[in-house]
Amino acid sequence: MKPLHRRDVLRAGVALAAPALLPARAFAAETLVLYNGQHAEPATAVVHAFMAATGVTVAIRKGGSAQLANQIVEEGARSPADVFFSEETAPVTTLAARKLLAPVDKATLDQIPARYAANDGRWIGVTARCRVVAYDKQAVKAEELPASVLDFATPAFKDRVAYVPTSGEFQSQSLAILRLKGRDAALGWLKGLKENGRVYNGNVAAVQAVQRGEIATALVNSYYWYAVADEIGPENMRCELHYLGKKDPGALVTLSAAGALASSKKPELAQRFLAFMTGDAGQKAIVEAVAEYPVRPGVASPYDLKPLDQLDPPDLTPDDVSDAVEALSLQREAGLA
Amino acid sequence: MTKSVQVRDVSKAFAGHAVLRGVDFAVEPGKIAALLGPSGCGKTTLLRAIAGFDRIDGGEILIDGARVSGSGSHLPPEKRRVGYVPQEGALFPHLTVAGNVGYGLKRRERTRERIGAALALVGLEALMERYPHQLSGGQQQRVALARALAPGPKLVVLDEPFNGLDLDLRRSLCAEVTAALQRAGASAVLVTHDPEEAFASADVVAVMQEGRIAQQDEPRAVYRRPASAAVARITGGAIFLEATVTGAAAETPLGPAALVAAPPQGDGRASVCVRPEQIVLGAPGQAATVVERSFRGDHDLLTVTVGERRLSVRAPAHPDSGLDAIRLRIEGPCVAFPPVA
Amino acid sequence: MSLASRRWESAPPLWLALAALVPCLLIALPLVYVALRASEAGAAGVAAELIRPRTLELLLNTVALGVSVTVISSVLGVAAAWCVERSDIPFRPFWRIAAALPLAVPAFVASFAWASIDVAFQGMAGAILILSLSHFPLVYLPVAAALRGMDPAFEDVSRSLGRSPARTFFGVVLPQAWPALGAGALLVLTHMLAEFGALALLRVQTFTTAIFASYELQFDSATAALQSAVLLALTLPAAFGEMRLRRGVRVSRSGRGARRTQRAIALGRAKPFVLAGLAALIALSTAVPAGMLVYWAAVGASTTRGLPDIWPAIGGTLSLALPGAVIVTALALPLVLAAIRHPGPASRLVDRLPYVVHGLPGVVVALALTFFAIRFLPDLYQTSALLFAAYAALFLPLAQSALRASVELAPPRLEEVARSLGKGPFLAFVSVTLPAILPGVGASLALMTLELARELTATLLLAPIGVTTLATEVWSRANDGQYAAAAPFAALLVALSALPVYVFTRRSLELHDL
Repeated sequence: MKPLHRRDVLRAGVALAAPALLPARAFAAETLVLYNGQHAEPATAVVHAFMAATGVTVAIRKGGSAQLANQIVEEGARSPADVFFSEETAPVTTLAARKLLAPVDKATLDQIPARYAANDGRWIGVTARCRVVAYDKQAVKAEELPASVLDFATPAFKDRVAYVPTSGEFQSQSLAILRLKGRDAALGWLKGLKENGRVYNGNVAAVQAVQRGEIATALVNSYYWYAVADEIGPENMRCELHYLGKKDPGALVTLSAAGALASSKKPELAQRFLAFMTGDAGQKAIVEAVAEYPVRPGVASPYDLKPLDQLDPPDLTPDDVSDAVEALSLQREAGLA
Repeated sequence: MTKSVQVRDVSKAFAGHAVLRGVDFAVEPGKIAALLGPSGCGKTTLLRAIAGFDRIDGGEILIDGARVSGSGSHLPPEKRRVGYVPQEGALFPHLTVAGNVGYGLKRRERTRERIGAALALVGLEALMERYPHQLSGGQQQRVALARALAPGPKLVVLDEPFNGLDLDLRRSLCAEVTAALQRAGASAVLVTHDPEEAFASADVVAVMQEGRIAQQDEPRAVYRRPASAAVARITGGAIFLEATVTGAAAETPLGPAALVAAPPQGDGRASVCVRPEQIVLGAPGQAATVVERSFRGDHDLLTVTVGERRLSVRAPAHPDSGLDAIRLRIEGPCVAFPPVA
Repeated sequence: MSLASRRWESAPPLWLALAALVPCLLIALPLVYVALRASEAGAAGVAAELIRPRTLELLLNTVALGVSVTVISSVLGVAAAWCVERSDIPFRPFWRIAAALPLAVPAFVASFAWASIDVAFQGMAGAILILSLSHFPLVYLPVAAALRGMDPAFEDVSRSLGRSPARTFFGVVLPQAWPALGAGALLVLTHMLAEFGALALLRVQTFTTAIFASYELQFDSATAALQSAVLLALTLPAAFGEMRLRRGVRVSRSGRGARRTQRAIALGRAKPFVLAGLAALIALSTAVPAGMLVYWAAVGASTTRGLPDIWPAIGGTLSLALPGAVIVTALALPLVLAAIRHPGPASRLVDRLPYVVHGLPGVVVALALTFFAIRFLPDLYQTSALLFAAYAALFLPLAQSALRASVELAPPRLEEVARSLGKGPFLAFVSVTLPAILPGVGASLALMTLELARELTATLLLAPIGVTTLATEVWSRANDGQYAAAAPFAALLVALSALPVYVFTRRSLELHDL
């Protein structure tokens, strides 16, 4: 190997280190900073539509919703973020409770049904989806599946049910059981899952496990099935979805949500973005990129989804199922966290 | 009588380059043999072949009459019971002195007494708990010898064991090592390039040159009667003088010189090898001119000219450093070689 | 023969002390942050958290995983090093590099590949297998370098004293390689303590996955901080124990005279088996993940969907990993110099602290830097500079271990000569010592480039907004279920990593030949 000369090394070092010494990238005044915890494709779609419609530049920081929310908590009043788009409601609920989110414009809230927004008006739902049971049609028939999600946390499903305790929607589901059936039932359900189910680290992983025949069923969200089906072709899916309906907590409808940061230096721009997300163009862009339900009436998903009005979810508001502290205390008591 | 080690017609090549070319060599039981030669002569290779670290290509090696190398067989080093003291000792740095010395002993033999006895051979019983890096270079070498002697081998091989030590230490250590080997009753093969070391410690000196044993004899004989000009150079200072030989006498530029024997090539021109100490000052002798006198403490080193010839001659230290004419002559018998072409 | 360094027990010069202070401050930030956040839980909260059965469960899992992977990686690494360096295995130069190649495959890629082959590879046993396969090169490389540099006279002496080759290996060779083995094993252990991505895929829960879960589930970081504190407590004895190992074992090489070249030990009839074993080891740890990437790219519909994002991702990866490697190496160097040239309680402490923080998950370090930057240096927040600081806090020990061997070999005498010729202490260092330790610097740069290119958590949280890397793109696409789209990014990451692995291997192994 050719010997390196000291001077070369030093020169290379200076050249490589130089970018670090440059100041932070300066953004034009009309740049909106979006912390995005939602899946990349729908977020990118709505951002592109917004930029095309307004000429405003949007810079995206990606990450897990909860991690980004934690980051915003640490950043406090100096957060560079203007808008936070979360895959779940718990992170926005927490930020709202800490007064880190600004109230959403009334006109924006009026664009969508009240049941899809926060009670205090500090965040709005952007898309809706349904909790479902994904099952391996080669291992189990739809008719054999229990009527309630509670019945999956039993020895009958020993090593036959996948669940994702770190997912926000799973937490919402446990809170739904708590609200509808009481704390003991929720705790029993979690303990039953810990005892009999198999933990996966993500919903995609769980759906794929079912698709591979690794496990018979998985408690997930509807749109993950479409993500996998998109990838390998719907005709190749041995994994199918089972909708529990009948107001069972297992048929819970949950939301992805967005809020404007109270600390934003561009509050009007942030509000404009929220309005766009829940407007016609924004909703269309989003539901074309992900198999979730639009929250805005009159917008249709191109995906072959089971209609929203046939889901028959339990009667709960998003705030009912978004208390992260309560969900965590349940999980801790059950030994899951 | 069975030789302690017997090497017969051993050859060995590394990557096509012959290093040993038919070596014959033997050591009597209880004797110390020195393998003396310049670097690259094959002496270390021969030592390693005896210890079993390297396989040989041809010939055979016997230890105590049993064949350990040769004819395709090769007894691994751990089965040969040959003690080995490498250059600079190579004490295991992670073990104490006691740990090093006990290393070759069987577990139940690994007692303080046994280790102490081995260390007593080299006079270092007090240093048992020290680590190698806490020892001086000479102490390290002595521990290395104790380690090699501890399992009671019949034969010990030492590879330039005193390299890297200062001169005084070399001399004293050499004596100590010889004494320890004798106390232990082991035969030894010592590799060195220092003739003084070889003569002082060995009963037999084998001079190696270009992969062969050029001469094997007791130290005085090797020094006084070198088998060749090359051996003469390897074994110490050698001054070669153009001479005319008649029978067992020679006429040199320094005057007449006796020969140990009439040379095999017969009378006529020859090159006579004179050891430096054989050239003495004073009459009667050949006239010489001192051109430089260099003070060396207990003696002076003179650079003299005799006719065309320039020589270095040791002389008793002289109170004044004057240059003058002196007389030189040769004392004692010399060896005559065929003249240099 | 004492190590040359032992003569240098003076206090470090001012420039070195100041230079060592910078990495120390960086390392202190996560520790202070963990202490601050953990204290919010209050004494009762701390007690309640620590005595939960869940904590015990996590502790057992963490220790079982850490110890098992460390032991198995050590065995595999030492075995590979011995075969490559000391046996008469054919195609030695090839194996020398190939045995380090698993380093090029990020653990989460390997885990994903294995996890999707069969459920049997998930769970604790699978995790131990898969992570050992992907981490053994961290032991292989230092041990191979040590075996290469070892004075063969030790083995000769041992054989002459009646010990068979096997007993010689355990009696002399292995003890000589202890410090190298210990350094590698410590890196593996701390990697295991901090590992998240692979374990999440393999469904194993440790303190680190619990810390991530805590951040997923709640927005009050006291629990996560407490769990981090437990992790720190686990790392401490390992980090300081390894140093004790180093101090207890003295390794020296005869400094004078020519070193005899080592003779390869004949494998004889075992040769085909050894060859097959080595080939299997490398195939399992590199070919399986590579095959999986190809499979995903072939069956998925989204393979080409991410292609427009590839160039920015490559650019982002290089623009973060390369300067990051230079900076982390530059920060590590004073720590190593101080520890080796000026041994003392203070320099030992600053040498060890980075290892302790190395056992912390990236999310904790990233949030710590968020916390401090937002409050005290808001202008630096979410700039490359802050991310580099996070990289340093996370990866200093890797750079330290890459540098250590060459600094140990650089004789302080040289610097003394330079001083006597009128150079100041800093200039003497730059003009004499720095060139002498360039192989170590090269090794460190390569290893850092490798690690930084795959870093995910801190990069997601702290990179300048809009900057993507290959690792963040793999994560983002896999998160969307587009594994085929993720495959090209992952494959590129592996391919790009092969170069630093090559450089690192050459530099590490050649050190002793100089």
